[in-house]
Amino acid sequence: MPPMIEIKHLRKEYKELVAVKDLCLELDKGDIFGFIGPNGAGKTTTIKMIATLLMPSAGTVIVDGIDVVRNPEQIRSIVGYMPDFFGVYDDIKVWEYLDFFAAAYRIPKGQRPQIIDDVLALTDLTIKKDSYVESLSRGMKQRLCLAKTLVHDPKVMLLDEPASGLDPRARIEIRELLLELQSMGKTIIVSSHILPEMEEFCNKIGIIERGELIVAGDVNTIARQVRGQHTIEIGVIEEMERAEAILLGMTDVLREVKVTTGMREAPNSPDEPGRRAMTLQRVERSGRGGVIQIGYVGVIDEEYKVLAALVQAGIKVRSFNAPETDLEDVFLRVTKGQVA
Amino acid sequence: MFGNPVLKKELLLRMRFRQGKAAQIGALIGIVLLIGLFHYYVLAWMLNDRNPLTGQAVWSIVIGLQYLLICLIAPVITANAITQEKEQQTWEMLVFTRLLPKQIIVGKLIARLVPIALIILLGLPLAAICALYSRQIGGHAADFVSVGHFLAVYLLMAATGFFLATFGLFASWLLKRTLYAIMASYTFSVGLLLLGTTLITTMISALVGDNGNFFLKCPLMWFNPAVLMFWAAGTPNSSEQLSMVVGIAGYIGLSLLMIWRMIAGFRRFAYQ
Repeated sequence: MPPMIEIKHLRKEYKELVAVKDLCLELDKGDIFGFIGPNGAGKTTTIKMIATLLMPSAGTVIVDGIDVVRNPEQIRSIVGYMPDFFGVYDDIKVWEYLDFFAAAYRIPKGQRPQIIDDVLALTDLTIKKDSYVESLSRGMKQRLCLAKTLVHDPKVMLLDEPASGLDPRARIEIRELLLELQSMGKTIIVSSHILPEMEEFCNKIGIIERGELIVAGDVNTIARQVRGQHTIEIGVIEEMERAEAILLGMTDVLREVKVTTGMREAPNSPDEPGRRAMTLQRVERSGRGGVIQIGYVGVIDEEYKVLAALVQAGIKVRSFNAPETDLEDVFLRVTKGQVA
Repeated sequence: MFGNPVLKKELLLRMRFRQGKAAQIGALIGIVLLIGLFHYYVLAWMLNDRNPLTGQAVWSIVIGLQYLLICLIAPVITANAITQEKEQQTWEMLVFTRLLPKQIIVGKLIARLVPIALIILLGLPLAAICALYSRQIGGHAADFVSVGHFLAVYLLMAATGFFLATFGLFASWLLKRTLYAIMASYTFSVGLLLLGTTLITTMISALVGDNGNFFLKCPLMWFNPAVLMFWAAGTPNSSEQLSMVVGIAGYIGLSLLMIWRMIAGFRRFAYQ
């Protein structure tokens, strides 16, 4: 199946400044791609080029088989775009706002009421249908903008910082909405600075810095590429030392073995009396069971062999899982904090 | 045209009166009373005087006032049409839709021409009564306001409103801030069209040692709205009528040229 979005050697120059350099990317249907990068890295420029709002200096962008430069009108019928900063019209009701955009996307008049009801239900704004847009909270306006982005049922959604400036509850609502959209088969490109949230709903990420896409792909694969290993946590009921010894012997597939049986707070610093110290230190040993963290560098499909070795040696394994990827760690490792 | 979503949205936003029913009715009564009183006093003055010249004088005052209002309102009424969208960050979302450039430009222009049309329509009955009254009472043929003259005056009014409003929209399309667009519109309408043409023509007149004929015959003055209305309000001779025709045609032609430029340059503008 051809990719839903295919970007080849995309470049954008503003006189001396090169905002995007040779960006290549492929996304499949149903992907949620997290576009990560510092301010000024080129995220918005890239999104605007996909959205036909900026002309690329070089390269091609193909969305669902359609070239964005050659057929911008067609692209606009299959792409939904939510800018990072957006406003709303005053003196207009929520349904009128959506009706205007539905009409602007050439949706027949007879179909509009049902579509408006559907997108309002999806974004949980049904109750606000007859409210004036300016009376909505920031989070509701954000959801209204998403609803507006959905009126023409786009296959691809480009969301530039959709959760910026929102309170935690509103951010969770946006996240759940994105997951629901993914389940509807939409391909979503979402840029954000809030990395922990990106981990939760993106199956692919790309890190961009100074206009260059440094890494892109599956979240776990990237984490493995960046760290050079794949972290696995093994919960052991007892015989921690023997389990550790077995793992230390598997030097061909394991890079590091760390025993992390628990945490305790470090004492207050003597030169800062009264200030609660936030540093946590590992406890070296706790006698019986605990957790061992390993850095697996072998073939992904053969991770089970590590588990098999422990079980065959009679070690009582309670759990064997990969902890959630720390996207912030990955981000900090690959970027240098530079802008284009 | 009425299927244009931009036109419908603009009319909705501009005509919406969010106060309660009582306030709406109160405002309506207030407007009707104001216009009614104005009509009453003007008609009373004219009927008491019973002089054909009074009819024409009142006609001149009515169309003069209408024209003044149009010249003051038209440049500013469209100057925020596009800059406001840019300032409130709705422009990008608007151009991203499947709306055609002509739908956006024409929709915004027509919606904002409605107040100008209202000014013309509200003064039309009184102007018509004045013109008819002037004919009814009799007098010199030259004092009559003929049907052709009447229509020409309102054509000039509509053309001037259309031209100035289109220039305001053009400034709004070209510039990023409403303030700059308003300044550009007024600089053009007052500074260039009204004062600029007068000053330049005066200077040329002085240089060529003119005795006063050149001033009104200079083609630059054919585009001066005050001079055009001065001719229209009086009884224009054939030379002035020709100048008016050229002025009106120029206004309409330039307006269409600006509209074409906005539509033709729209896609490139969105891609910049």
